[in-house]
Amino acid sequence: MPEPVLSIRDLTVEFGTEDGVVRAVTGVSYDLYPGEVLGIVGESGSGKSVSMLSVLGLIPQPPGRIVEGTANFEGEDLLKMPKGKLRDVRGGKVSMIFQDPMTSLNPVLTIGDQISEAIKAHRPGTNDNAANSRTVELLEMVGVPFAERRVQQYPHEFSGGMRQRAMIAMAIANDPTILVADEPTTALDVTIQAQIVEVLKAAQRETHAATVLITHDLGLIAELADRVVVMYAGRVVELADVFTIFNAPRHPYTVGLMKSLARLDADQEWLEPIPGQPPSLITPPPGCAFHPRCAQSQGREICRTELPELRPSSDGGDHLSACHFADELTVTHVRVAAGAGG
Amino acid sequence: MLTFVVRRLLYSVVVLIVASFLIFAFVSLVSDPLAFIRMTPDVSEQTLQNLEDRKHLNEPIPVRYLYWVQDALTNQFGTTTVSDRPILPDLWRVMKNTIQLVVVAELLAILVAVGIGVYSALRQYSAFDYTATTFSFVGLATPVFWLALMFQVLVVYIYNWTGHRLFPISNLNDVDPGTGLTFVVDRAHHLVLPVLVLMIASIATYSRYMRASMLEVVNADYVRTARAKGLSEKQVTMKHAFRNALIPLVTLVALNFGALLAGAVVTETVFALDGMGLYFINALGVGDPYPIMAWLMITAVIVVVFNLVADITYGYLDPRVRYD
Amino acid sequence: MTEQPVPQPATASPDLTLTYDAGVELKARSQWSYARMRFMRHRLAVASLIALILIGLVAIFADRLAPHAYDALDLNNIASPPTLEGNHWFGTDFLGRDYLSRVIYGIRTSLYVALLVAFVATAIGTTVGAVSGYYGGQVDNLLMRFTDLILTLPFLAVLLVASVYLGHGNPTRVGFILAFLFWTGLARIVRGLFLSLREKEFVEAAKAAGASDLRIIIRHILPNCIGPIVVTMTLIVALAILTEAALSFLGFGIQPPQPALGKLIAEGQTEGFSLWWLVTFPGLMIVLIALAVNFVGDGLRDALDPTQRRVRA
Repeated sequence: MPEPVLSIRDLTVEFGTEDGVVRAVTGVSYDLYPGEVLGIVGESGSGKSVSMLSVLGLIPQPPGRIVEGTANFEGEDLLKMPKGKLRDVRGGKVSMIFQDPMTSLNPVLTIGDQISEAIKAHRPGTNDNAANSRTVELLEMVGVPFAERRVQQYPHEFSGGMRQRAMIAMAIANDPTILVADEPTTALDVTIQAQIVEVLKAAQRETHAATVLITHDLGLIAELADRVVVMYAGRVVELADVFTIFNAPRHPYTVGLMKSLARLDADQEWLEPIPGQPPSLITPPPGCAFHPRCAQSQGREICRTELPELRPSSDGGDHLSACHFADELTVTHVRVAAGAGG
Repeated sequence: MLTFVVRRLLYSVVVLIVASFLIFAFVSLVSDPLAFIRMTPDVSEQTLQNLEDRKHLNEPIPVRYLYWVQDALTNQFGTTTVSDRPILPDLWRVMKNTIQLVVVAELLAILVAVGIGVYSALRQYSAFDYTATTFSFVGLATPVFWLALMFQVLVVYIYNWTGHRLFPISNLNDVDPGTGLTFVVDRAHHLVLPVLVLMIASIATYSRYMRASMLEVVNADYVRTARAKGLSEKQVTMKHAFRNALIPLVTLVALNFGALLAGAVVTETVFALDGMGLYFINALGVGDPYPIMAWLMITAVIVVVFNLVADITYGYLDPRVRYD
Repeated sequence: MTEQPVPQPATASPDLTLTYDAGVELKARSQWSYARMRFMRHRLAVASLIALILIGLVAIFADRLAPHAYDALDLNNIASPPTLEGNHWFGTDFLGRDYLSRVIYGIRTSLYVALLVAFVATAIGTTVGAVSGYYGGQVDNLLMRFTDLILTLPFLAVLLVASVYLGHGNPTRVGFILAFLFWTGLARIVRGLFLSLREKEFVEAAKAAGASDLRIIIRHILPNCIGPIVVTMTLIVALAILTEAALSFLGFGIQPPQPALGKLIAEGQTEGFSLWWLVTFPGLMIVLIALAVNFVGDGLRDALDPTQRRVRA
């Protein structure tokens, strides 16, 4: 097993709000290995974005606060790094793609300007011409036609899919070691989503970067991810490779997610959503946060009183689950043909 | 960009033409140019009749309008009814004085307000922020003429106590201002208080807006992207946040023009400055519609030009509007 | 598969509490009490509201509260400075009239005009905006061109011309003239609201039930606009106070014998600056009232329109 390129341990982040302290992320730990695609799945509010954003120092503090945790990257803890150094890492070795390319791009600057900016920030001394040619190169790489002309256009002159391509170009401009994609396709049309998935795959191939794919779209995970982290109410509840997650999940939440997928290959009369609502992050339920909605719990007291640890299931050390009764879940009838996984 | 400018220009011309007719119609309908003269004793019927003919007062409005336009374009806007003075030279003189006052005050106000607004936004909830916000609130609640008066009172009292005359409190210049540099210095000295008064009102409005705009922008997604790229805080603030935050201010300055003009009118009255404001007030006192119409027309032109400049600046700052 | 314990809502109780294991409780409240709660959070706004009510009461009961009639002459005390002892707290003017009384009556006139302006402007503005926004098309076009025109004219100039030729002096007249200029901002806002609200389903439902246009406008759409309308109304009040003062100061507003704060300041100005209190006190009152109205307006805006993405000023 090669060394992980990023190691997050016991990360806890909270936010002070008018209504109380929100624990967005509690005790989160996972590793990212070089060259792989790690998917982070969860509902809105599960904390999937917050963990990566705080590692990169993109959470405003206040009102956010990193209570504890470490994030080791190339031998140093990103969470304790001085701001200047962290800034060098951001956009250089670790870069990020955001969800909505319309609002994530500055409307008054040209696309070329914004990409060149990223280049010049990490390679000082690059003159304008060099930056410009590299920018055109990058745009061609992500499939933007007539790149030379497009470079001088503004974001509002690009279509949604092309803007996202431009964002991806911006993110891979400096050959990052880690690429974080936060809901890269959520704001796009379905047909465009497919194209962007191809662009992401190509980007991953070109840069050999370890990719963190944050999404609630299980289809995207199936297509791109190698391993998957499932998050609920700010905690990691399951961690396994993508085939296992889809075929033999060992956490009731994951099971619920899989069962709620609409199936093309089965004859379904009803969709099966997970009953209930996501919990409040200010006053989470005692014990296991999922227990009010859990089919497996069956009202057993331990679920209500004790927080389950994330520990290896009976399948082995690579499959972690945070459920008191993980081993009871031998669900085999949930079978989804996972994609070749990038 | 060029088509944008040209279209705005043409539109402005049309607006001016419509405005000119409306101004003329409105003022003519409500006023009687000879009212003042009629009240003067010893004025014969014949004189009144001559005046009526000369001013074409018996024709219908559209015809009179055309005469007025002719006067405006070829004959210095005609002459005042009472004293038969050509209107334009006087108007021109006072306009130059007012422009000095207003342009200086507004430019300084914008500079200061932007500074205050941006700094308040970046240091939200700090002591500076609270002070600035309080100042804004109070400034917005203070009538301009009263502020002008208070300044005068203050200067007079300081003089009474210390024998020190800080700033002149009336007129554009001293009785014998000299020429060249001495003249300019004297003029500047006299304009300090009026400029200060106008500035305070504008700063109160603009700084609040700038702060709100900056705060909104600072939380925008593209600022987060800029940070994620690893840009320095200074680059993020100036190149990304600030430029976008500035855009709504342009609209605000344009919209605020009416208030600015009102402020100038009262300030000139209080400080007895020979400017457009005082000219207008005096003309209203006499009731002669011709100077009033000329004044309104010139003001309309200034407003239109001002809006045009604002539109073009907006187009320069925000590429999204250039192609509508 | 065993039955999953699905959380059940408590049987309908009058308070409509919803609970589940985690213990989150919600009490349903009316829209107005939420608004009131939000307003109460702004201490400045609440304090300002109290201050305004007090000032309003003083204005209404001026006859009983003012120590003297506003034109009574105290010949022993001509032009005396303000003093806490004796009976001239704000001093007297050059004719020996008690200034506190004059200021109190001045407040009354100014508040009357400001409120008149606010109500008339709101009435006109809401009507124009509602018609424009609801019917759209040509009607909208016409009305909006018209309001645009009024908006582009520098308002003080138009005001002055209007008051010279249409007569001034009478507070009611001044009020109406001011209102005819101030309705435009409100019309714009109401129009915008109507344009978006008329597409909502409840309007369709009302139409399907056979409601007339008038009924839809008044009973269905208008109540949803009350928030922004009230907020704009307070802004108009503040603006009216300042503008009326300026008009009166310049001599084109309210005329004597009615005392108005602007007029008082103008009279004070003629005395040079030896009697500083003649200019200071009326002005201070204007500032205080305008400030209070602005604070209340701010508080109202937060209370009634929380969806508006605003940064706490």
